[in-house]
Amino acid sequence: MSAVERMYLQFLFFAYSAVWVVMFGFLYRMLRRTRQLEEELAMLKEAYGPESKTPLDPGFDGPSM
Amino acid sequence: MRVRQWRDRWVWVLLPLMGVALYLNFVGTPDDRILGASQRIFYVHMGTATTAGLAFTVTAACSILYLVTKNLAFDVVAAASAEIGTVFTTMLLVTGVLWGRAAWGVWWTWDPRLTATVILWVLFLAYLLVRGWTESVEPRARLSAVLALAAYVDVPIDYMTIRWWKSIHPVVITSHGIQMAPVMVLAMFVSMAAMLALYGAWMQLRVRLGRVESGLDVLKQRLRSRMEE
Repeated sequence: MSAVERMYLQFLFFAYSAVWVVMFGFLYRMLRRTRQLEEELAMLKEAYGPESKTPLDPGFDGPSM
Repeated sequence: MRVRQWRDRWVWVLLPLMGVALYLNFVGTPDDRILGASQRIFYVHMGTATTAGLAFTVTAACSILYLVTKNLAFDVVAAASAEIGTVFTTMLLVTGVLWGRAAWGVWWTWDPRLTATVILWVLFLAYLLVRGWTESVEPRARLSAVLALAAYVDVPIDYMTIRWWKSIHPVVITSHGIQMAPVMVLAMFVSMAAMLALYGAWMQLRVRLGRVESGLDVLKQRLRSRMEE
C-alpha cells in the first residue's frame, strides 16, 4: 500500500468513526429529550386529562411581565 | 419501571457493536486484490443498503395496515421508518459515490442501479415533504400511506436492476452464494448488524416521540372542547 493510499484509508477510518460517534450522540440526546417530553406529557395529562378538575380560563393570555 | 429502564439502556448495546464493526472493517480484513483499500467502503455501503431496504419495507407494511385498520399508530411507525430509511439512503448514495470514484474512476454515472436508488431517495423525500405540508391528521395519514406504497414499488426494482439490465454495479449475492472471502463476508454481516441495531434504537425512540406528539394532539382537542363548553 502506497503512502497516499494509507492516508486515504486513515481519512476513511476517521470519517466512519465520526459518523458512528455523531449517530450515537444524536440517539443519546434524542433519548434524553424523549424521556423529558414523556414526563411533561404525563404531567399535562394529570392536570388536563378526563378526570382533572383544573379550571380553564379562555381569557387568560399567559404570564405577564 | 424496570422494563422502561431496560428499554432505555439498550441504546448502549450499540457502542460495542459499532466498535467491532469498525475493527473488522479497518483492521480485521485485508485489502481487496483489485480494489485495494477502497473495498472497505463496501461494508458500510452494504449495511446502509440493507437497512434502507428494511426501513422502507416497514413503511410499506405499516401503510397497508393503516389503510386496512385506520389505526393511527401504524401511520406513526410508517413515518418514523421512512425518515430513517431516507437518512440511510443518503448514506448509501454518499458511500456509493466514493466507492464509484475509486473503482470506476468517475463520481457518478447514470447506471440503472444508481438511477433507481436516486429515484427511491427522491420519492421518499417527497413523502416526507408532503407529510410536513399537511396539517390534519387523518387526510395526511391516508395520503402518506398511498404515497409510501407508490414509492415502495421502486425498492424491488432497485434490487433487481443489476440482474434485469446491463449494469456496471457489481453483483455480490448470486445464486452461487456471496462472492467474497469469508473474513470479508463476516465484516459485511457485522457492519449490517450494527446498522440494523442503529435502526432499531432509532425507530424505538422515534415511535416514542410520535406517541408523545399524538398524546399532545389528543390533549389539545380535549382542551379545545372543554373551553367551548
